[in-house]
Amino acid sequence: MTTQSRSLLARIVVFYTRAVESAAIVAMVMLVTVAAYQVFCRYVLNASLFWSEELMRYLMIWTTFLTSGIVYTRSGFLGMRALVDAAPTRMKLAADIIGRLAILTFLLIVAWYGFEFAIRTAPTHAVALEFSMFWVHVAVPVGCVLMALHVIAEFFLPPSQIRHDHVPPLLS
Amino acid sequence: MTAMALSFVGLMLIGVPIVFVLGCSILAYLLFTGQSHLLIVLPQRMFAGIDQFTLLAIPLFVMAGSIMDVGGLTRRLLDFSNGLVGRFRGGVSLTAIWASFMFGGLSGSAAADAAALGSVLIPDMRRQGYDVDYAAALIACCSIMAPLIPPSLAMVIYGALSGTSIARLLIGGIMPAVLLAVFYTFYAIWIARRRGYPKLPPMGLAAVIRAALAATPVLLLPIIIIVGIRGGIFTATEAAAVAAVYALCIAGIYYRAAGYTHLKRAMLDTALISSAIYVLIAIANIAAFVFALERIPQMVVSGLFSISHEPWIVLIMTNFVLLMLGMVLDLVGVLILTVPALVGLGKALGMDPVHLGVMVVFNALLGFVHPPVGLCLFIVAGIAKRPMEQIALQTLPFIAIGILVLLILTFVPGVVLFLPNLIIG
Repeated sequence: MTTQSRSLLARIVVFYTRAVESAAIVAMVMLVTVAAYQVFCRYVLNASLFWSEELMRYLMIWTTFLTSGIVYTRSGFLGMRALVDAAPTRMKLAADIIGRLAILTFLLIVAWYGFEFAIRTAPTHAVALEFSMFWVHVAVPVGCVLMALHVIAEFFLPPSQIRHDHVPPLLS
Repeated sequence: MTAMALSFVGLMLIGVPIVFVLGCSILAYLLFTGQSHLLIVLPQRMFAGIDQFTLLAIPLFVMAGSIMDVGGLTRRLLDFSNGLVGRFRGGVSLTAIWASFMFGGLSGSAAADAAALGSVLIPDMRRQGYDVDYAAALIACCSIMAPLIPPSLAMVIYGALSGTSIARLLIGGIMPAVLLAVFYTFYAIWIARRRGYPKLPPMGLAAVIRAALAATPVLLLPIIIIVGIRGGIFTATEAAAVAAVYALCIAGIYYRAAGYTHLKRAMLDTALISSAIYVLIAIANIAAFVFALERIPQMVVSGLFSISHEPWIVLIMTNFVLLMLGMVLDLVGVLILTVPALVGLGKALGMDPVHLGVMVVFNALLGFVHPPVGLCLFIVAGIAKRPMEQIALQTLPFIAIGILVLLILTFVPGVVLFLPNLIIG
């Protein structure tokens, strides 16, 4: 039973990762298309779009929170690791567990209040696109829950299995 | 307040990512000061922080860089740079400096710069008899020019956090980068003379022109951005959109290197990198709220002014604090923690916000080549397969040059403001 459920879990993880990655790719293609179309309309046709800025903003916000869990697991959020990496294995393990518990607390509280925030603002509507702001604001709790799941996953996976596919060198 | 400071330091020391260090300390502050009714502010401020049109320049700039980052482009920049400066004493090291400068107009990321150029040039320099630690230090220290040249993510983030004109910031970084490149060049020539590093065989004029033509499409990217935002024709975000489309056209048509897989990879990288930055900005926006609640910026400003009323002493102290912070935090971390206080400081000193912004970004950039978190130092140490301490030793003269440029741009505002005033007016 355990092997079967594990393989089911593995399949769910693969499916989830693919789905999020594909959604992110589609969102980025849409983003650059809308951005280019906006510039074209404004400077070539001299007729500004009323919906493009809003659509781009919300697209990027959803992309952010949808992918943030994956970014976490692939070490996209930098910290000061010098001290921990120099510490003995057991202390490092303890530090990581305390750190993860702190992160989890933060994420779950933000998720809880984020959902309340989304429900409270549900009666308001987006200015140009005219859907309920619930669908935009709910991105925050969704992202926090996804990140929390990734943090929990770190407790169960050996370090070699996480952080395999790196986020490319960040900014800066 | 104590709860916030304690959890901040504690969590940072045990290696929690900066963004969650910030988030958890704010949470501790709200809970321990009995302000749990403000918890609903957390998601609301996070959302408001990233719901800004100007921030869209970030994914679009990252996209332009990721698409252009195809094998072959780095080579073209190297060839052109070699044609310009390779013939002088210490040829490869000079080529590295100017290729790094040009690469900044492609990616705006110091880490990408160090990785791309380091993997080609460090082995090259080793083969020509250069001291490997010196070669690695040179590449790392050159890479900090990248975020000073448009397209620059650091400038977009500073502009968004502080409400400064992003267009002006983007152009304001150029002159300091030029100064840095020129001073590095003098130092590299001096070292090459002393240690007898070789020249490269001079390229003929025809070959130089060929190399220049091959590199032109790459070099046009920053120029398109600058021309685009000139006189406010485009907003910075729109210029970034044009840059991304331009990169797509160049990679797809001109270089015929952008396969379907490569494009997919570039789009995914764009989403993940932007997501990481967006989450940081979201949480920074809660931090800004709490800082304002506790009047921390005012405290910092009056604290600095209580030590001295002389603006130049205050500026020196500010730079010193920023350099120290750059040693333990990465660039975005430094910006997020200090921008609220710095904006107040700039007003108290009567400083131009663009001048202040470039100074702050430059400061934070020097942290990239400092242990213990010097990201670029890690990258080149990995490529050169040398201990970081040895390389860090060799970076000291370059850091001294960096601090010299920092002092110049701090006390001669014209160095920063000349170009934005000329181009944007």
